[in-house]
Amino acid sequence: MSKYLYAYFLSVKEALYYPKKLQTSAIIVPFRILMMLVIYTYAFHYIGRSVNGIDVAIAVWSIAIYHLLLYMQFRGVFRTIDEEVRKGTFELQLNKPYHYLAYKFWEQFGKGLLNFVMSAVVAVPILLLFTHGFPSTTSTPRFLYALILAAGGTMVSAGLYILIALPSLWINDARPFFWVVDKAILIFGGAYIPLALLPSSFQTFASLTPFGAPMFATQMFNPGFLSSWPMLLIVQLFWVAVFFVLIRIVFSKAQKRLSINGG
Amino acid sequence: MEANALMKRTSQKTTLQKIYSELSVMGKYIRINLAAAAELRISFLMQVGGMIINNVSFVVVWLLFFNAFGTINGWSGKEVIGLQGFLALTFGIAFAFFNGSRDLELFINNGTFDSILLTPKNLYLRILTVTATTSAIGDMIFGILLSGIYAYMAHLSLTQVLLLVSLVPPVATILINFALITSCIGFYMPDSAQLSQDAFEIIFGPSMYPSGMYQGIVRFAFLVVIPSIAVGGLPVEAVANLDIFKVGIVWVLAVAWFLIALFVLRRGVRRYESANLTGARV
Repeated sequence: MSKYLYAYFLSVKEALYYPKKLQTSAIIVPFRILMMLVIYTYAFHYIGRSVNGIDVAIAVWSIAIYHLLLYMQFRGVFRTIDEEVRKGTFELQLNKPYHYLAYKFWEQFGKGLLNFVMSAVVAVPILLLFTHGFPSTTSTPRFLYALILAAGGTMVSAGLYILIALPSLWINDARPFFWVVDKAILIFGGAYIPLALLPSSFQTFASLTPFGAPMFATQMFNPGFLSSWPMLLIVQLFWVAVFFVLIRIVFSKAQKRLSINGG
Repeated sequence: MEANALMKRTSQKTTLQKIYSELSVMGKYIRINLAAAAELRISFLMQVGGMIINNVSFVVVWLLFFNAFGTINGWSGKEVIGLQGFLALTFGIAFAFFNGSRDLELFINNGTFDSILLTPKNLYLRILTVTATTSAIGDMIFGILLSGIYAYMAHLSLTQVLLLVSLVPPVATILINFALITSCIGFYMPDSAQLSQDAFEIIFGPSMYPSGMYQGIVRFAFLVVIPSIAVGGLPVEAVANLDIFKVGIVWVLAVAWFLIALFVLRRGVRRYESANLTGARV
């Protein structure tokens, strides 16, 4: 375990060596959040009422949580694995005294941490300023349950992105898988529209599939969150277990298939 | 002796012949890039298909938005289809053929910019055509389909369709030149691929949102300071209302961003220092 923690801290340190990149992430996410703030403020002002119990503050905070959590999740692990397979460095790492996927997991986890912190430090004051504080439904239990769901969501996203990266070993380009999965999470995770504003069929689909599961924490301000969070956690645990089994099967097949040419 | 004769012949070329020569070489580069991309047939088809599915998601998102809010400031699902279709079409054309504007930072960073710099043809055009993106062809196909659906749903007249088509070149010009400007960050900062990409997203992200929701100072900023509305909402509004003034604004902005890109590129190239990368070009 210590070697994986070492990989984690190494990634954090590496991120610290590129402060300009961190500064960029501290601009981009708050910029996206500001855009959503402009749009939703105008839309709610235009119709002059809340929709399904959601007002401007809840909508914008939910979307903001999505974009912040994105840094703690595992979109980047796809690119890492895909690139390493193409360049041929994947094979070299299989000989190292660690489990390749576990190493990538911790490495990616470390990469996202500082970006998340930097973005949050800039975005939260902006949100507090423009939405006049936290949404009216905010409470300590909601915050704690959301933290649990954020951790669960991170695990689901790790499973999902690692699983779709492994076909790189069979096909020339696995990016189309990434695009489809990434955009499914964008819709069902609530990147642009909070889940509570979607039609009920979409809400049900998002609550049961692995495309909504990574971002269940974004629902923390929804009126019905306190009663629905245990079910959401069960769904996340189910998908974590499914992905764990699938990744083991696919990875072992990938290793058998691998042929290393000398040179 | 022969070199002198060659130089004499070259200097005798008229401006039109020079332009033809540049465009002819540019066309050849584009053909080679696309042929190379299509060589891996399955990968090519998967990228094109994947990008079409990817784009559908943005249409779905905004259709759901208007399903929840209804028509806002003249914008509904129909206009969003027009917006996404037009954006995908221009983005596809811009980067299926001129993706070098986005990749310039990579060439600077890995030292291969030297070989581009030494090209005897126009540097600006060579940079633009040095790479192509296969997935952008998917954008183009999707854009054509969606724009057709929009034309049918909005009952566009022939004049409106022609106006829409006439707006493709200036909007593609804005996108290409803004991408080139963001790539020029590489001349000033090492390893800035992510930064360039993020800077480009600052223009492209807001352009995908319905422009009817940008009012007052926000609208001004996204039109003049960052041309987001000029590449998305404004063309759709111009076509829907047959507004020639808005068409004019898009063309003026296209010329302005082209000139700014040339200026930034020239300044950047002056700063560039070769890393003396050696290697074979195949």
